[in-house]
Amino acid sequence: MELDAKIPSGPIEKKWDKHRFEMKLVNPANKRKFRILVVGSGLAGASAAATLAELGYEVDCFCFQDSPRRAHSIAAQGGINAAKNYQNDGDSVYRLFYDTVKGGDYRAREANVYRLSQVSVDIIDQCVAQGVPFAREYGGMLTNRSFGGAQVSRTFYARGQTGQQLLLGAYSALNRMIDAGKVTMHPRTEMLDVVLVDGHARGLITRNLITGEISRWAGDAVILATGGYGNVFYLSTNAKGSNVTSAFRAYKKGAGFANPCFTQIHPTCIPVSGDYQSKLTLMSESLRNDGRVWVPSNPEDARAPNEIPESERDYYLERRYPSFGNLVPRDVAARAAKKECDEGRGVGSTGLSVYLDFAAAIERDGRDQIEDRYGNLFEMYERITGESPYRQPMRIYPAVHYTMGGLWVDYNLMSNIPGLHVLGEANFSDHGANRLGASALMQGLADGYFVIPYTLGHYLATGWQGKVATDHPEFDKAEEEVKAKVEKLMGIGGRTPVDVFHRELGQIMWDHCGMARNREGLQKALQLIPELRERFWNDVAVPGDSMELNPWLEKAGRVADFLEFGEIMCHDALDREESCGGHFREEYQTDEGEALRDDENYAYGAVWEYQGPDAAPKLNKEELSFEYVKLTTRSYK
Amino acid sequence: MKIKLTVWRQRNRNAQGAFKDYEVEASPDMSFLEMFDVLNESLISKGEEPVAFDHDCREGICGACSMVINGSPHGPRQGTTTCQLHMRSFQDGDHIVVEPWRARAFPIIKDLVVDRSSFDRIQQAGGYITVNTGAPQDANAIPIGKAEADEAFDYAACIGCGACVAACPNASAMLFTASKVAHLSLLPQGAPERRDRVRRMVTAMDGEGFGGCTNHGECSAACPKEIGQDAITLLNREFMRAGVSAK
Amino acid sequence: MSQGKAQSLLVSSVTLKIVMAITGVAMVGFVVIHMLGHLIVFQGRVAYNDYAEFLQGLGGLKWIARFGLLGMIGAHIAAATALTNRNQRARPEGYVKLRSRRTTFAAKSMWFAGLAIFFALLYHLAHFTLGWVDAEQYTWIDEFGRHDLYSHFVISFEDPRILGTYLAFVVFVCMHLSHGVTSMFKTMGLSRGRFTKPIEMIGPVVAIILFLGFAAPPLACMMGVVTAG
Repeated sequence: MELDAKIPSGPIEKKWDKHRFEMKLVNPANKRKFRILVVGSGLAGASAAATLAELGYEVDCFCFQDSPRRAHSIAAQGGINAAKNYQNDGDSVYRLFYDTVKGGDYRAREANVYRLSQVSVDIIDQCVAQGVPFAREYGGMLTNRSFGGAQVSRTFYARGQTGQQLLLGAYSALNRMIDAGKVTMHPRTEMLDVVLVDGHARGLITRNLITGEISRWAGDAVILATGGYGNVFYLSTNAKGSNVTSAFRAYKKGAGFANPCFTQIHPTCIPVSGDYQSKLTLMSESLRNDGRVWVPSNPEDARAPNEIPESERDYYLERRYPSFGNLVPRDVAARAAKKECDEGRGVGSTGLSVYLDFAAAIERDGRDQIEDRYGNLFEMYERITGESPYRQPMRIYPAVHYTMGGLWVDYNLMSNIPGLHVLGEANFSDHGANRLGASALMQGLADGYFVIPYTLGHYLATGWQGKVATDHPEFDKAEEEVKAKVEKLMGIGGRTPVDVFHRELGQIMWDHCGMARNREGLQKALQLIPELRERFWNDVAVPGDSMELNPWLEKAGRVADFLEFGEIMCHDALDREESCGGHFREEYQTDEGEALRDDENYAYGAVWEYQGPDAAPKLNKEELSFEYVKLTTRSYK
Repeated sequence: MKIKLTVWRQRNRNAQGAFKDYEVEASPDMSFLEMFDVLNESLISKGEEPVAFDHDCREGICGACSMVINGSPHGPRQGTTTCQLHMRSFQDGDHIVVEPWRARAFPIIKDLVVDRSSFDRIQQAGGYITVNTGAPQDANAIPIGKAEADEAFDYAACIGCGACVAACPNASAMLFTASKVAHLSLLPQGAPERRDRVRRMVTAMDGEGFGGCTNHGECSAACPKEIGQDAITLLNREFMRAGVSAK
Repeated sequence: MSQGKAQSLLVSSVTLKIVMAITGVAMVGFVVIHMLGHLIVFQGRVAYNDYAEFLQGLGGLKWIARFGLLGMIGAHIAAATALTNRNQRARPEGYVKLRSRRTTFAAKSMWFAGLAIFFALLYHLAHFTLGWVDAEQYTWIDEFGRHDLYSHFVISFEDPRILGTYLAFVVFVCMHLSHGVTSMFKTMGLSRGRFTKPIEMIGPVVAIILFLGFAAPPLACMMGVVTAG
């Protein structure tokens, strides 16, 4: 596999400008002759589809939801970072770049991150112009907050619903282009394969989720903006429909999958309450600004939290990380909670949660202040758990939240398959081994609004190979494969519901490839997953018919892909014999239990290449070089 | 807890639907949708056809879930979507009737799943600000008072679930349409297109076959984001303003 | 899956609502003046018959007002019919159960109350304006040789059947307006923010005042506080 990141030469702050000048343009009159197929309508997909249509391209946009407005970007709560330095507190493009590379534990590509920081400021301008109601000061200026332990206030937010407001902004831009006839929207349509013609991505095979009809779409380039694969764990903060299928089909067609083991576990989620649990709910990270995390010092302590005296509580984050305390980054906080629970000090009926206590904050600032800051979060918590955080501490536990890994892309956001571009969470580019809070929204919109509109034109002007039609034999082949898979799933006639397999896969992944991994566990997982897959293909029950709305068929297809994909994650985690960011290998830790990175041997992006149905994937490496940010150990002591 | 369910089953848009009774063993900590998951798994194991329903984020923000529960869209709790409704809101032995959203403009696709694409078409008829990517000035060049920004946010909080239509005795989509019109009318960025926007969106809304507003207020009472009827007042104001305009 | 192109309607639902609100304002204005007129009954026969004579003496103006009001009623009913039709078509298949949380009985019975008012109005006109109900009373004259509307009024309401019919009429009007007046403000875009709560109250308050104003004179007649003697 050839992995050329195509990073422009020159000083980092000039690379993007230089590249923008050097890239070839498509004549405005010719743009309308190109048809771009965009899969996904979240922040990255909707912003890309809208912007490309504004430029004059003909765009088809596909989403499995009933409306593009329901893409899971909508659920992001906290905010979006931008190096505006409106607060005059020392922020700059360079500082955002530095923080992101460091926060990603030095496993991201410097040039991409720098560009992300550069365009971050334009995103805010764009969103405000679209009518996104960001929080404001009384004087009418935008306000910011410090988020996720950042030392500057660079996070723009819209109450606890920033993702929703940004997505509705992108959705409105998309609607405008649908209204103008430049974008054709295909909701309730799932991409089931990408079609390659002469090695270039030139089309899609989709299934209409209402009629079951399998269709072909030919285009001049394909953009995947299909989000992350956190649902491989079954329980995650992702939407129920979020899946890896599009990215995985591209992988099977030859696209490299980079760093799949880099998953982010968010420390503050509502803990699991029972076997029926279908999804985990995130509580905004901002809660840690005022809440104190603790567990009883004595593992046997079964008293109600309010009856445990101060002296018998262990505020373990404050104890272990005196300078950052409760505000340590996500990966650190999450692992610390797991450690306490593993050692038997967890609380709640399952023993899988820790307390997040607001008693001190309420005493200090008064209930009104706390209600003002967190009222809606407390309400949400009470709605789900039936317990009031005003009266007793919240119980929290980490949950899978975001996946830093994704399809490998070069500086132009193109995968190693020419014409196949990958945006947002679906690619691997910017967050390294750990994503900082409020950076996911930034990246999705940066890719869609400000990067792909330039780089796609360059591909069309230089790499494009002429029109293809859907009667090309490659379309026949791809469609047959898709139909065969659907028929196979429908024909198994098993007795076990899809969710049973999915839950079991999730448990394997969580136990062996979750917050902490080790060689033995990963090897075990690599043995368990194929067994489970085997059972799935023999005994999965897919009720109903394939030519109608059939949520169980959709689910079965997605879980079938997760059952293969989980293995690649384990291979990746096994290969990476170091601890960095969201990837913690128990064999590689300091005496104090902190992550031990190995820059000597593992400063690379691990890019996995499909080798056929029963073969292990092949590892390719993109070596990373750090010219601007010095490699140091992250310390939050 | 034992729950008796009566659920609307309908094979597809043109088929005749009917209610069917089920019994489910639920736990008070389950969400309402998790109770349906349990029901569906048992139906699948018995070889019966499970109940189709829309859902996705399951955290109250995507707007996909849509069930009329004992006569109330999204169930009995104020400001709560179906996915965030938990079984502790019910009693052991309760009988719960579950119906789909019912409106001509929301045809049933299957069981409890309805087609809400009419909402998208209303938004496409001007529910946006015309601004190309890359065109705008600095974000702080347009000061917007906190009160206006906050009020605009209140309307922008709409998740497009359609509970307003489902609850309205007239199956009117006024609160949905008005939320977008009101959101953009309160911001200076929305001003240049205000006349066309309100005219076009109202025309689109009527054309989809929704009913008209007669100020019952059921929409706001059912809205999981508790959007107030002031939105509708603002739409009316915008509409009259456009009506008296010579342009 | 799309329903295809939306159909284009001649008049938008919001326009229909505005028509209802504007015609509503005019009719509420008439109702309020009419109520004040009734209250003159308490000032005795001369004052009341003076007022009646003044109104009849308006000549052309009177006819303009009459036709104006008729037009308003016609437009109000036409808009209401169009809206109600659309609203009924908007939900072809109903729920087995739809719980109300906020709406009122008055709001739900606008159409029915409106119809009732329309027929009661015809009766009322037949009674006092055209003199068809009690033709004999319509011929009474007072000491100045004018039609003695005062006696006509007082004697009529001593009859419990007429009183009952009339009170029912007033109840329907007040119910209709308790929702209608507030609704009018909303449609005209006037109820918002800090005005919302007071305007929610305006409809019921107007309804109560009208009820008291309209019910007082006939009840006084029945109880013998106001007499024809």
